[in-house]
Amino acid sequence: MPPAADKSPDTRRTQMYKGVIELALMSLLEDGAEYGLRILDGLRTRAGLDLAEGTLYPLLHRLEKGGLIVAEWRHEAEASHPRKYYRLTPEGAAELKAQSDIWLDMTGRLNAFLRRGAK
Amino acid sequence: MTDYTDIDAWLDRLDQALLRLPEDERADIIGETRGHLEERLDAGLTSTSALAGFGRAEAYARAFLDDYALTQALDSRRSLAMARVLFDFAGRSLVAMLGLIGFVIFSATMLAAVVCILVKLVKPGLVGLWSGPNGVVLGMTSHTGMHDVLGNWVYAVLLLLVIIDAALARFSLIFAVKGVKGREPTT
Repeated sequence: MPPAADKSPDTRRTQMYKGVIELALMSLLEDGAEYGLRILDGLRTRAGLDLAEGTLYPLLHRLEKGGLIVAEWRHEAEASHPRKYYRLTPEGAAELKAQSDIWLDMTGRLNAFLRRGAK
Repeated sequence: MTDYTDIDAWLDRLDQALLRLPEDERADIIGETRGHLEERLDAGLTSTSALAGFGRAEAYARAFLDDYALTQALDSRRSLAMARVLFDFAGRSLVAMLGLIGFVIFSATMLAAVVCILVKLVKPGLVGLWSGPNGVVLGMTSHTGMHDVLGNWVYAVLLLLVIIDAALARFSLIFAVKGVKGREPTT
């Protein structure tokens, strides 16, 4: 195994992203149904997650198969093609709540720990 | 070649790469991806920029195919199907490799116990729980000076071993397939 010093900032960021993309995605859908491109842009601009299309769509697919989100095709007047909208299911909302609680508790403790030297 | 032609060519390759998926699922993925790409082109992006985030069509398809293969294997509840899919993942997943190793070890032990039961039925004197100066051996032994301490009760011990090994072999597979499934797709 290579020493930790060999890991680039990008590699570290990618590894940390893996755990939070699902949480951020479900949180975004809590605001209402959205389609893929808008979800991607929302995660980039609102959550600051620089994820790629090749990451997002398989994740949406997996969450849909897992019953955490549900999709429907909509034909909208301003669009030249139908759009696939995703929204949270009750199971997804419960999972979001559980993951959020864990994340907030964990990051709260970790932030306090990492900042202990600054006090 | 126009940007839209580039997109069509990329989508054709994606469609080919997704052939193992059910038709409706494949059409769903293609339709959604086409919508995304065309909306990006309509917003002024080039095909190269629009496709950059998806990567190669075959690599993008792999994330869907992997999830499908793992789900199919789990839903089938068949040990061989799960072992086969773990074998496919073993080169790129430590969890899959460990699951396969566990499956092989527990299956081999189970098979040995079954063989001992069959041998015991044919030649009862060859199989037992042997005790002697060299320690204790379950099954068959070539050491002399050992005596069988269980008699026919060894059937119960071997049967218990078969049941425990079968459960552990299956647990190794299910645990590994679920573990691999939980780890993808993220990149």
